[in-house]
Amino acid sequence: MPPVESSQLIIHMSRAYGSLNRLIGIVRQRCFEIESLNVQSESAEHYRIQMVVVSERNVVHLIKKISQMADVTSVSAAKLTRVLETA
Amino acid sequence: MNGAQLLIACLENEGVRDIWGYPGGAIMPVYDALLDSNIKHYLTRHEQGAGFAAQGTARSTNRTAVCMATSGPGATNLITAIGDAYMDSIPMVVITGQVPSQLMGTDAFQELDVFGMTLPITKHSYVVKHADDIPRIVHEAFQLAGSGKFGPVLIDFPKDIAFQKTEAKPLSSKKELPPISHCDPDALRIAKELLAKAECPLIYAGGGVEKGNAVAEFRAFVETTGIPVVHTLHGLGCLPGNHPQFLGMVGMHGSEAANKAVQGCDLLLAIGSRFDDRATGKLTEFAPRAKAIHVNLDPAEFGKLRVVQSALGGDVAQNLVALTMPLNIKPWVEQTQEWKRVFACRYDAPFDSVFAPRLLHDLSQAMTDRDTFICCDVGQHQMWVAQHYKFTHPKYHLTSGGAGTMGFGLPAALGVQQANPDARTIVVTGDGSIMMNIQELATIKRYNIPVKILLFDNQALGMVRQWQQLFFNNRESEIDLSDNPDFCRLAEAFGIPSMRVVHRDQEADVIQALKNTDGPLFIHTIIDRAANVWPLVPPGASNSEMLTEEGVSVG
Repeated sequence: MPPVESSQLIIHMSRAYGSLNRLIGIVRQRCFEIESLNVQSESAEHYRIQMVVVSERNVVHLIKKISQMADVTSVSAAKLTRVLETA
Repeated sequence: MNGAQLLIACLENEGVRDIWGYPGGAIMPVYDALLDSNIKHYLTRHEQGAGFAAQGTARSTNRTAVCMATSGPGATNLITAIGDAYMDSIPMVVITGQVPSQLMGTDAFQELDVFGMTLPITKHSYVVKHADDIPRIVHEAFQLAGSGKFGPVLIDFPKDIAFQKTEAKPLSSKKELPPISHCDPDALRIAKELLAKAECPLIYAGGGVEKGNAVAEFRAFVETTGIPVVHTLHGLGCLPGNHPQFLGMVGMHGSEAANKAVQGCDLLLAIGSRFDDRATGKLTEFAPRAKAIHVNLDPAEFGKLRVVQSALGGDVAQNLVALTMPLNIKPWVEQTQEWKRVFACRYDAPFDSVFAPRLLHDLSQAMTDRDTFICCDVGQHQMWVAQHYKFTHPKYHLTSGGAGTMGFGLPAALGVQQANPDARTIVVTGDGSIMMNIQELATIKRYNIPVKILLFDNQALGMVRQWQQLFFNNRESEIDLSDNPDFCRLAEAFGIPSMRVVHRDQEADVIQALKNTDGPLFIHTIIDRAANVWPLVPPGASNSEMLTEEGVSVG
C-alpha cells in the first residue's frame, strides 16, 4: 500500500453560492480525508481556505482538479511532513 | 425587461437556436418569455428525454446545447442526463426553475436542492441571486461548458428573479477564452525519442481526438507513422473502421487483435483517452511491457491511473502535428495484421433468426451514401454496434459510454436529427433500453422527426443475462422481458410506421427500409435470446484473458 500523506492546501476562491460545497465534494470524491478546514473571509468576494488533507493518493491530481474549478483563483500545497521537518 | 426575458435574450445572444424542455410551475415565466423569441422549443414527454435530446445536438455538432425543466421533480428528472453529460464531457447548459428566493430552504412545493444534488456532476453551477447577474452568468455558463474539457453547467433560476425588473442587457463583448497551452518542448522531445526507438508502438485513441477537433491531424499522424491503432468506445471512427491500420476496439468487448496488440506493444500512445477501466481491464496488466506517451487536453488525466514517460497537455492537434514522423516498424505491423486476419469476426451464423452483428456490419456498408448517425442505447446491441459497425467518423457514433445510461438512444436521436436535418439518424436499441424512454415516440410524431429505430428484441436484459450465465452460475435473476408489449402496435399507436423482422432472410429488407424510408420508422427485430457478445474480458481480469464464443482464453 502506498504511504498515507498529509498535505496542506491554501486555496483562494470565490464566495459564490455553493463554492465551498463544491470544493469539499471534489476533495472527498477523490478519496482525500479532510483533517482540518479553516475558512477566512478575505474580501466580500473571496475566501482564503486552509485545508489539511490526508490520503494514499497523490495530492498533485487533487490540486489539478481544484485548479480547474471556476470558483478557484489559486491553489498551492505543501506536504505537511516536509513543513514539520522545516519547522 | 424582466429576468426571464433577459435570460432568453442572453441565450439568443449566445447563438442558441433550440431548447429541449418541459414546462412547470417555477419555470413558467421563462416559457412565457420564450413565446416572443426566435428560439425554437421542443417539448419532450419527460425531462430526461429533453436532457438526452440536448445531448444529441451537442454530441453531433460539438455545440453547447440547452435543456430546461421546472423545479423539484422536473429538475431531478434531468439529473441522469446531466450526469451522463459529465461522464462523457458533453457541452450542455441546463436551466432549471426554482421556487422564489424567499421560499428556498422552507420545503416549499416542488422545492428541491437541485444545485446541491448536481454539484459533483456539473462543471459549474449557479443559483441566480439577482436579475442583473443573468448576462454574466449565462455567458460564463456557455464559456465553461464549451471550453477545455467540455461538460454540463447548471443554472438554477428562482421564480422571483424571473419576474424581477432589470436594466441589464446581454453582454455585447464576449470575454476571451484563455488560450489552450502549447506543447511542452521537453515532453515533446522525450516523446519523439520514445517514438524513434520503439519497435512495437501502438496508438490507443479515445473521444478526446474528436472533441479536440483533431481527427484530420490524427489520421495524418497515423498514416505517416504507420502505427497500428486501437480505439476506445468513444474513439471509434477517428480512424475509419475499414482502415487497414485499425485493429478494433480495445478492452472488455474489444477485438482479439486489438487486445493482443495492447499486451504486446512496447510503446503505447494514449491519445485523447483516459485509461478507463472498461478499456484497460486489470490496470496493472494493461500494456505491461510498454512505455507510454499520453496526449490529452486535460492535464489532470496525466498520471491519474498510469505512469507515463511523456505527458503532452494542451491542444491535441498541435501535439500530433509535432509528433508526426515516418517510422520503420514493418515487422510489428505485419504481426498485427496477422492477428487481425486470424481473429477476424465471422458473420456466418448458421441459425435462421437475425444475427445482429451481421446486420450491423452490412448496415454500415450500405449507409455510406450520406451522413448517417447511429444513436445506441446500452446493452448487448451497444457492444455489437461498436464491434461491427464500421464508423467513418467519430461524430456519427453517439453512445453513453461513461455512464452507460439505458434510455439514451431514442431521445438523443431527436436532438441529432433536428441539428442535422439532412442526415440519416438511426437508433439501435434493445427491448430493455427502448422502454426507458419510449414516451419520446410521441415527440417524433409531434415534430415528424424522421428518426429510424432498429430494435433488437431478445425478450431479456441481454447483457445482464450474459453476465449471470458466465459469472453467476447461469442463475437468471430478474432479466426476463418475455411480457414485452407488441412493439409494432405500440409504434403504430404513436402514429409511427413499423415492420417486424423474424428471419435472417429479411436482413436485406431491413437495410433497404432504413436506407430508403423518408419519415420515421420503427423496426422490431427478433433475435436469439441466447446470443452473447464475444469476445469478453471478465471483470477485473487482464485483457490477455479474453473469453471467446468457444469459452477459451486466448491470452
